[in-house]
Amino acid sequence: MNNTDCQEILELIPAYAIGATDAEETALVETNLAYCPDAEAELALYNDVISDVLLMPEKLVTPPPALEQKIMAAAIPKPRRSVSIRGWRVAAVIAILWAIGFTIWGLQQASERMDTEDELAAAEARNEALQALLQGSDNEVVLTANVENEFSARLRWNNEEDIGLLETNNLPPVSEDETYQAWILAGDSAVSLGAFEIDENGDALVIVDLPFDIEPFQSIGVSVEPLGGSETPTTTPLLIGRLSED
Amino acid sequence: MKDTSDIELMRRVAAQDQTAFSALYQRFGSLIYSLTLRIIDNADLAEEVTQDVFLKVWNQAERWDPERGTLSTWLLIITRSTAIDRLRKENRHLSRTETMTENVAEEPEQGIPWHDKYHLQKLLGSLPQEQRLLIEMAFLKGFTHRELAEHLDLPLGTVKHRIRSGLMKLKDMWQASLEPSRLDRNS
Repeated sequence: MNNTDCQEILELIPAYAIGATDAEETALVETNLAYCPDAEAELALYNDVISDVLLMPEKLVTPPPALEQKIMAAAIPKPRRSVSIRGWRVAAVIAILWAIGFTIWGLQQASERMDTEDELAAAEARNEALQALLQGSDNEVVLTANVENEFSARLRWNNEEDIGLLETNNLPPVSEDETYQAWILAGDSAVSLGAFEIDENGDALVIVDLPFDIEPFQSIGVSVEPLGGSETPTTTPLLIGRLSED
Repeated sequence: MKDTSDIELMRRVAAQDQTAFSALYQRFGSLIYSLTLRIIDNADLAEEVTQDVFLKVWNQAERWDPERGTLSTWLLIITRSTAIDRLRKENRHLSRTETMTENVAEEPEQGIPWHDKYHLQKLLGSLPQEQRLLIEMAFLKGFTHRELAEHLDLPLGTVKHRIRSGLMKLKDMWQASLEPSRLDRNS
């Protein structure tokens, strides 16, 4: 980028900072901002101005008392979510699982958290199932979503422990108000496998709990949903994969 | 939880602690509702949007990164985008006649975390009305340059110039207000 181009970007920064730029101007700034350090610095400055001057309401208005009750009533603790390991590859995940195993060993010694031997056995079995999925155990079944683009996903799972690993590659970034969500589908029904985040490369490795038999389901999908996830898919899935066994 | 830091509070909210979530509402509920009302100007819709914002925070509390900004700023950014999305969905931002009334800054309640910078909000009132109107319509209602030009029947160049000039002036005033006073320097 030459100085003239960066000057054009710099002049757009104030309007861009408050969201006033048109689509072409926005694209111009976002595509070239990284090459214009002065513009980046100016944007950071305007973001501070906006935070202090524009974002704050002029006066505080107390909301109706009933609003708090509605919000609290809707804030239901979520069931155990899929754990997303952003950007970590197999070696790092194995290191984590080793640490889990070590912790389980430690718990066996201390008996601090596990109330029963059954719970401890279940945790060990889950740990072993995850390690097997990472290393390609004979007990795993690998699925690959059909891809029509440069991004892709794959779900491996272990039926006995009802646990799976969803791996995504090169997914495009989403906005701050959005998240990716995985689904398992049977006809018109969709069951959420959880929302997850991708790393800067569009990759994710997600541990997925499958508290049911996967046999009746025909496909998996990944869609973009509002931040916080959805009960059912609200957008057309980016990825759909027919479930099949290797 | 009154003295709990924002970081600790959000850690607990991320862990689905409903007591912490209630404390979060006590701390920021008025702030979020107030900004929502300012953007949407309809009490019923503002309630719904406020609820949406808090549920987003409940479901994605771990997304707040203290390194990137204060909790209040993060919450208000989410509030603004959620409110503008709702405005567009209700098709209200273009169909209404925009009459941005004169701002009347009131004294903030005690204990608001941003109290020490509340005076900076008054800087907006120092701008010429034609610049301030465009900036507020863009920032609070989601209008772009072209939409402003069409809606207000102004040349596109005029809209761009007024917004840019107004924001540059705002930036200069903001920077000046943060500088140490001359008396302090000379003492």
